[in-house]
Amino acid sequence: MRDEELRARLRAYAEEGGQPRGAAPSAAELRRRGYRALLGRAVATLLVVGLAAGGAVVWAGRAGGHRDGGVVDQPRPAPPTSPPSTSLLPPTTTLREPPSTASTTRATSSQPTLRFTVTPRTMRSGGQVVLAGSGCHPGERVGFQWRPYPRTASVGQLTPATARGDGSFRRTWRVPLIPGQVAVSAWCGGRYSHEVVLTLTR
Amino acid sequence: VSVAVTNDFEGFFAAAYPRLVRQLFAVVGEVGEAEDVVQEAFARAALRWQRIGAYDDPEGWVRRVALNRAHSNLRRSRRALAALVRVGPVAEVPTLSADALAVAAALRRLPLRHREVLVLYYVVGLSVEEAARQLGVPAGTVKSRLARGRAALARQLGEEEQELRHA
Repeated sequence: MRDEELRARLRAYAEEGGQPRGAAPSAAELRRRGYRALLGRAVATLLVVGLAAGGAVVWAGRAGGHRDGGVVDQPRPAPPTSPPSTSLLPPTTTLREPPSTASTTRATSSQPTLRFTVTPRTMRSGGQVVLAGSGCHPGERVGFQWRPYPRTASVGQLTPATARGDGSFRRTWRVPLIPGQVAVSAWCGGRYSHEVVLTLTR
Repeated sequence: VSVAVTNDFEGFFAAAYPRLVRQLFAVVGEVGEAEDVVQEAFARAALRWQRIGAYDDPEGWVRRVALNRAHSNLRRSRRALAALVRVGPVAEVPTLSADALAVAAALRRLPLRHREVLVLYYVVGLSVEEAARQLGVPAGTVKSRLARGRAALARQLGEEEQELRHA
């Protein structure tokens, strides 16, 4: 087929079949559509950003354990005054519970010593550890918190346990899926335990 | 200034709209879809008319946006289009003449990228270089798509004509 013939047939086809069916919209209508499309794109962008943020929160929650809230951004606490160790004092601010006043694991004269252990200290990421301790009052609520170590900006809270009749407590925790180090601590009755640093391997 | 700009856009729209609908119809094969993509492109142009109106070829800008939109629609409804190809022309096409019907059927079997090059070259009348600039691809790509599209179209038009003669 010659080029000229092809050109003629294609043009005839476009001319014959491509006549607009309805009346063309007005310029004002087109502008309205343009603004609506812009608005739609802005809403879609916000939606995507919102979903991504929501997904990140869910992901962080999963990374922090199945039943627990995972990492929640908290105001950055005051920097530690001494080099990090496995017995860091807990953050002195930011958590609603327990009270934000600093405390140590030392018992006051009227209260038993709060002891807290984590077994094992080294495990594969996503594995399970046992959080146990003693020194709470019977029936007292025992809270736990964890944070990436040594980063201190984000703190996650775990599902609380209840102290037994002898003041001991125990619960399991599925550690984050991300290899690295995390610090875990417990509290009850306004007293904090030392932080225990766990090493999560691949 | 605003009134002048508005009038300018309205004049441009009135002149270019039917022409672009015909061109996009030849690419997408359905006049309703051609109207949709062209109107959407004009809606975008309307918001930026002060800038686009100053271009050398504002119609080319609108055509390119409409072609991009046609590509997006195709990606979204590839499955529907595949079904369309299987079942043949849509209900509107039978109102065309026998020759236009044959061209429509032949075009439908070509990939969209080949169709748009054929339309830009034969219907719009752009050169290979102009079509390449319009599509944002190298001239060699346009030449190759043009050669393949032309060969496939000629072959399919031959088959269509034979089928029509038999019918």
